[in-house]
Amino acid sequence: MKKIFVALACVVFVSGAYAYDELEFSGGKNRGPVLFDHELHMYDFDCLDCHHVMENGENILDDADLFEGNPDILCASCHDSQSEIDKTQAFHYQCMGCHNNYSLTSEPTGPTLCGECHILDK
Amino acid sequence: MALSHIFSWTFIYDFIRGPMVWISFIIFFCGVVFQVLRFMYLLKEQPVQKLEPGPGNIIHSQTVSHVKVDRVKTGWFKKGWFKKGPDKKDWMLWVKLSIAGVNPFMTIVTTIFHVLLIGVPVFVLGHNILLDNAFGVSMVSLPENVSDFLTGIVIFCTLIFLFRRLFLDRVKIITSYADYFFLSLAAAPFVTGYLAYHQVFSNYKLLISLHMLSGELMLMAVPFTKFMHMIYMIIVRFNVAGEYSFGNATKNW
Ligand code: HEC
Ligand code: HEC
Ligand code: HEC
Ligand code: HEC
Ligand code: HEM
Ligand code: HEM
Repeated sequence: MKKIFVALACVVFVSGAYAYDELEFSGGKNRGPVLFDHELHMYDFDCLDCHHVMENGENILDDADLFEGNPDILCASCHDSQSEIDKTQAFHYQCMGCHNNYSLTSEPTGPTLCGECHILDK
Repeated sequence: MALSHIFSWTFIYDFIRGPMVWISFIIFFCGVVFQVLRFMYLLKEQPVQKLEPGPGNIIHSQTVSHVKVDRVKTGWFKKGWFKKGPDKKDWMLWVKLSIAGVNPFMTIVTTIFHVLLIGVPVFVLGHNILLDNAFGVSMVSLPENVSDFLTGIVIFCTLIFLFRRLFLDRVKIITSYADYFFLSLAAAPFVTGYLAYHQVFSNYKLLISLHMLSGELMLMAVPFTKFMHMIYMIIVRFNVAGEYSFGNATKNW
């Protein structure tokens, strides 16, 4: 049922395909690349569930800033080797953290262990 | 929660990588503590009998008694370590008579095996990222290609153990099926971890579940099986007077 709804939602709301519908992260030297179905997540969640600019513990990000090619919204623009949470941690905390919220429930969820995300291309 | 869900694959998967990890670690630690306490308790019931080196304990072997006589003559251990070191000859003999001298190859293999067996899992990135996510402790990790290589070495060492048990007669006759079982149990987390890292089968979830299950089984087996030698090896040396313990380098039969 949910799938049908998602499919319908796609038809109704998507006026055009964006480059960020499907994102691919490199995964570095030893790990396979990660395919991130941005679009799927956009239907299930709020943009601000993931994208943030924190101030006094509050997310003050303006939806309007979320456009393609804006360098300031890329995670690495704030989460670099200097910050408390580096880039890899930012991704892992956010992605695996949310997927783990549905652990032991019957809700659909995303991958939680290394090889489910970092798929080696053979 | 519906019963059908509890028997579903996703639930079992979540259980193996969630509560089951806790359960196995708790059984591991409590089991080890229990066994150590039990050991100490049983030890108390024995009359303490210090074995002193003396005429009764002389070993009737030319080489070994040579060591003893030599040591008494020079008395290096009485004069202290700093004034006059032990004779070089003593050390060479000591090494030759030890297991490292009798079977240097297996000593090297077993040392590498044990160091990596305990060391590698601690520094595997796959473990440490999960620890970081769960508790916020970021531990140093090896680069993944290095830990993968070391995993291969552990597997290689277990193969040497296996072939020894299969083909060397003097090892074969004292080998039972249980020995094969425990050798496989020790190797299983490494083999499955290796397969998972390389994603050899397309079903990664199955592989990593087998990895977690075998790791958990191994942990839970430590306190109650021959894997307990990890603790007993050490406390026996300090607590039980005998041929192999510290302070009594004499045979006690
Ligand atoms: C599940 C978390 C999540 C949700 C929900 C989400 N995003 Fe994203 N988004 C990401 C991640 C992760 C990136 C990649 C950032 C990077 O590469 O550093 C990204 C990247 C982007 C980019 C930049 C693409 C580029 O290549 O320049 C835009 C624009 C964007 N998102 C817009 C949105 C909008 C609009 C919404 C709400 C409809 C949304 N996102 C919802 C996680 C999410
Ligand atoms: C404008 C800068 C900025 C950008 C862009 C940004 N972050 Fe953050 N992020 C922060 C700051 C600042 C904090 C610390 C928040 C705090 O201490 O409460 C944070 C915290 C986090 C946390 C920890 C949250 C928690 O509950 O502890 C995660 C996970 C995270 N960011 C992931 C991401 C991801 C993934 C992206 C890209 C989609 C991203 N961040 C983009 C600034 C940013
Ligand atoms: C706010 C929660 C949330 C965050 C953050 C999140 N996910 Fe997900 N993810 C989900 C849920 C829920 C699903 C299951 C969606 C479904 O099947 O309907 C999912 C599914 C997936 C899937 C499987 C998609 C498929 O085709 O079956 C992948 C891959 C995935 N997520 C990757 C990521 C990555 C990579 C990130 C971090 C950049 C991320 N997710 C962040 C909630 C989240
Ligand atoms: C939910 C999906 C997901 C899971 C599960 C996951 N990762 Fe990642 N990982 C990512 C994303 C997204 C990135 C960011 C990729 C990038 O920066 O190019 C990343 C980055 C990395 C990097 C850094 C790559 C670089 O650029 O240097 C390493 C190493 C890594 N992951 C290892 C692991 C290991 C080990 C595990 C298992 C504990 C794991 N990951 C589990 C999504 C995931
Ligand atoms: C108790 C629960 C355990 C969990 C949840 C767990 C989880 C994992 C995960 C997620 C990986 C990464 C796999 C990948 O790269 O795709 C991994 C790798 C590995 N694990 Fe475990 N593990 C557990 C126990 C153990 C134990 C007890 C041992 C060994 C004694 C062990 C040895 C290894 C090794 C050696 C690797 C690396 C394999 C390689 O990179 O070649 N694990 N483990
Ligand atoms: C620091 C703790 C440990 C010490 C001091 C120790 C010591 C020893 C010794 C002296 C041997 C005999 C040597 C040989 O067979 O060549 C041995 C064998 C073995 N150990 Fe350990 N050990 C420790 C921890 C462990 C752990 C944690 C495991 C696995 C869970 C393990 C698994 C094995 C196995 C499988 C063998 C037998 C190999 C064979 O089949 O011949 N050891 N250990």
